[in-house]
Amino acid sequence: MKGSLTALDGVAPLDSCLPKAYQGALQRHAQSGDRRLLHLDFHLSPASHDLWNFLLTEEERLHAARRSGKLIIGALKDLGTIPILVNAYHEAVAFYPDGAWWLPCFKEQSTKLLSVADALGAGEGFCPVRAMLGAFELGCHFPIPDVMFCSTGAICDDFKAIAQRLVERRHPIHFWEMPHVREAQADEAALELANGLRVPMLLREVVEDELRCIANILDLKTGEAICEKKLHAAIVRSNRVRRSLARIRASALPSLERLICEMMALHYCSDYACCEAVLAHVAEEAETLTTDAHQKPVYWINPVADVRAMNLVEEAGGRLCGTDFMFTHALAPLDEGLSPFDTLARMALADPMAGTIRARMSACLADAKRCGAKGVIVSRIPGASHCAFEASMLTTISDLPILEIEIPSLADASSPSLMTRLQGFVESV
Amino acid sequence: MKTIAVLSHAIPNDWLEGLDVAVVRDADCARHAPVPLRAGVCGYLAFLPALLAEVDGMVLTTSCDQMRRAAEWLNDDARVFLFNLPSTFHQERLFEAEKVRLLKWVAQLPQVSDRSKQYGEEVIDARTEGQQDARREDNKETLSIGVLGGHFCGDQQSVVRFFEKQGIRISLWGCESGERVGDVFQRPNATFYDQVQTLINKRHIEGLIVARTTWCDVWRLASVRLHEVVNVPVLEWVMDSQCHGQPFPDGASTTRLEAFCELLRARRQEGP
Repeated sequence: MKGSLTALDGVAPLDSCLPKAYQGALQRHAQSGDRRLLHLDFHLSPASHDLWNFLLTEEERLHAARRSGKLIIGALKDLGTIPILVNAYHEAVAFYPDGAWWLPCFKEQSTKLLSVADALGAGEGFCPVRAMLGAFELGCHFPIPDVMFCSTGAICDDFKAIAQRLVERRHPIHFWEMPHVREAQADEAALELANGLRVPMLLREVVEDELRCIANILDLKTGEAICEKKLHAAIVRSNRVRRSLARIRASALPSLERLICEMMALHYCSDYACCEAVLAHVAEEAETLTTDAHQKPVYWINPVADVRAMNLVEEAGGRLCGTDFMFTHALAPLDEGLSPFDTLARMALADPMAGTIRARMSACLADAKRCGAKGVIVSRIPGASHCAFEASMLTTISDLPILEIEIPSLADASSPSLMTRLQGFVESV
Repeated sequence: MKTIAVLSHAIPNDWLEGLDVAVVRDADCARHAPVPLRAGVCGYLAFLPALLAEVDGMVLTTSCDQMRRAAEWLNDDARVFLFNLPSTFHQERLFEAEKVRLLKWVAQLPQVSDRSKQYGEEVIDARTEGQQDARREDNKETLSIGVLGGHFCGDQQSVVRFFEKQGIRISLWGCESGERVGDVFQRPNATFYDQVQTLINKRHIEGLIVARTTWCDVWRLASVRLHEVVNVPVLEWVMDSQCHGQPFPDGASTTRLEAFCELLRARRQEGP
């Protein structure tokens, strides 16, 4: 059952898994500026209430972590690898500044984030992640991390340019190399990743070296020495989150909450233990839900800058039966039997964005068929360099119908045309 | 002799010496009709299919995402080599391994075209660049500018002629097909801006033009940074018309570049 923010507050849990400080009516978030919440349809359940409260209290958690003397580690762009490493340190907490791309949406453009980004040169031609530049400049949306790591190399141009701009604005970043992931040639030493891709051994060695360098920096900054045992424990914890997410992904949980849950795989919303508890509750509840036979199953590619789009697809008669929000490597189970740095290197190499578009689209298509999707929706991120190639590549290999749409940070103005396109697609598949 | 288009500064000609290869450094956009592209794609890609049809092989690098994707978009794995170019300074191991892989690919690449006669004379000889530098330093009387940017979507000679008519000499051609001026794609890339300033001082450059395509994010923000750090005026030139096959000089470009020339002349008259 779905309903408004007020209705969701009506089903607040009596036995919340959140610490007291993060419990309470969700309407307080809307009153303090997250106005998008007033225009969303929520899945009405106590677990969903906790999920949203957990998401929307991240800033408070980060400030609390800083007050308690913990180091805040900014993990930029890698979408899930560095946070596992950080999670092995007691005195550090991982934060994902790229998540600021949702601020213009949640604040319904009531902040100066994008105008500040404009003034720094990152105008509308850039992906909405440019909001991160504004957030760093204004310094009022999250505490500025003590240390930042950013993957570079096989990443989108928007982020590469914006990360450099952050450095120029006096936010030092340790860049680490994420090489383009290609298939190994016949004469190269190779290994097979969990996703089936056979890649050159050299790439694993390069990435593992990079991760060890990052660990050395974290050792120095935190005063803690990383050991394989601690990192292995962090990998085991990450797998627990991934197992909950696998249950959620296989359930009939509505699209909006599904998106929020999956996003938590990136950095556990800055509190691993709480994240695990929240997702376990959501998974337990989601497994009791049944699929609405009137909704057509569709597969969704790419995250959306405006979360309202997740409501729109359901209003149009669709439901997400499978997704690739650009970080499937953060959802797949990690190998606990390898050396921990090897495991993390393999995870990073499985990042679908570091490889070819053909490999990613092929994986999406196979996943869509496995999920029983009737069609595939490719959601373009405005300005993102990879998006221009995706739908056209998918068209060449797909025997499923494809719809390409673009979702801006605030899709209200384009929602009538979006709805028309979504309805037309869902009706016809 | 094989003909290979090597579309990156990062791969110097001396790597290919002794391999009986003619190297083409530019897509020669003025001669080729662009193919239609989707919004979001770098305009330079429009000229690559025609170039690929004329050469035996093409080398692109992962320096920017657009080129990384272009290698795949061209859909000819045998004739297009994607060089995994590190963006950081410390990954020499990957760089060296890629160099070995590239040379092996060049050696095995079959020669199918007879274009080497046409292109053979256009091979850029890196060894003469130092002499060219020296010549550029001679003349301080003529107003001098630099052109920087990624892949240039026009005809370089027509741009040179345009500025000559304005009484201005281009003493630095730092687009991807010309001199290598640091590496704007490295992270972090502060040394790139230092090198630009060094060249400005050395060659008495009085203005910089940053030529880029609409969707080139890296050069877009590099242009903003150049405004902040170099001590000469900087003009951003978005080559939309050229990307769509319109020859230079077109109306919009001319107006913009002429205004820049006027500014530079006025600055020189005013003196320091």
